[in-house]
Amino acid sequence: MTTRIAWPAILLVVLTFSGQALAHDFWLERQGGALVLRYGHRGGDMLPLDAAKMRSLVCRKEHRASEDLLRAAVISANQLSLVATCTAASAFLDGGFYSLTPDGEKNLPKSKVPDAVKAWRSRQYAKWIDVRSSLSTEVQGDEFEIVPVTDLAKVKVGDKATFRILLDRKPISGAVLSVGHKPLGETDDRGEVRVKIRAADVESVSATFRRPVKSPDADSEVFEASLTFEVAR
Amino acid sequence: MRSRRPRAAVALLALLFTSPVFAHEVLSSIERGRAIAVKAVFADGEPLAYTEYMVFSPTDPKIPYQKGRTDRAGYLAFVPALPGNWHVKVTEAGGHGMELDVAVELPGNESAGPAAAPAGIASWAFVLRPIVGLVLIAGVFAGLVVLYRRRKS
Repeated sequence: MTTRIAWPAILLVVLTFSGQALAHDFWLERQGGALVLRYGHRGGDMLPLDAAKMRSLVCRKEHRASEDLLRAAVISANQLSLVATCTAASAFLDGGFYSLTPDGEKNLPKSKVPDAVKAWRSRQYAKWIDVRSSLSTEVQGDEFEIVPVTDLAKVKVGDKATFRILLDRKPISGAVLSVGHKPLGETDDRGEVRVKIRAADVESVSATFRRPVKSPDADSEVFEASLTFEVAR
Repeated sequence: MRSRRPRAAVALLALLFTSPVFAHEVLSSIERGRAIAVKAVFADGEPLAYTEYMVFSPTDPKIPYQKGRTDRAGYLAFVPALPGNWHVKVTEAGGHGMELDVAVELPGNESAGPAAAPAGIASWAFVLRPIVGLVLIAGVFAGLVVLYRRRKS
């Protein structure tokens, strides 16, 4: 983007970032016989995954009770992998409190940062589904969750699909759905948003929602969730 | 005679404390209409507050001409020293960067480099320097004369 400035002029240039104030991508995808949980920039650089902040990695199979397999996962520098046959899985990373200061962000609550100008609590959820499974359109039960309304087994690249976004299992309006940090739509009163599927192989959509809170530690809670699935061919 | 001693001491101390300020000679000026302000915002309108940025001059794309953090409202500002494409890069906490080229055309003599001092400051400094020097010398001399007379009496 180039902006041309000539004197005299109103010397203000607005630089708009197409994304939102989000943390890094956090997603779960299938690789070989394993489910791999990653953190960073999907399609770009991976970043270290702080395993100490991981709270759960739940594997679901049809007609069986769900199981938290976080302890069975293998942790490496940039990912966490789980060898298991799941038809749906979800992970929860509790990022804790973040405070914005004149020196940047600090991973501490506002009550412990004297020069904080705002603070928020970050919770990130990553979900993967096998679109051929009946579990794919079911609510898994995460605090913040993206649930496909459309049968994704029939959706190909270029088709549109509807997603419902739930907070505490209830549809929520005003949540933003993005692909690759590009906001594509906001949920309506039914908590639904309809977007075009852009990837031909694996698609990952992400949602974010900010809720104000009254607390000495934070001004808001930021919920983020991703849903990753293999696109039908 | 004793009552004069504190006065002389105060005069000497004042001279000692004021002289380092002038030795470093930190001056400032306000120039209007020379800076370019860039406001960085997310798509939802939220400013990128206290976010790291770098500004590269048209002649050096490697070493930043300026770096810092945006202010609380998401603004950064720089004063271009020469015409050409100035490159602005803002990197938000998530690691995502936004880049912008600002093509600057400076009129005639305003395209001088950063070393050029503003005319107002230069002329005042030119007048003040010898006056301050003379005052200092006179003050030290007066102090010495007072001490000499006191010892003599």
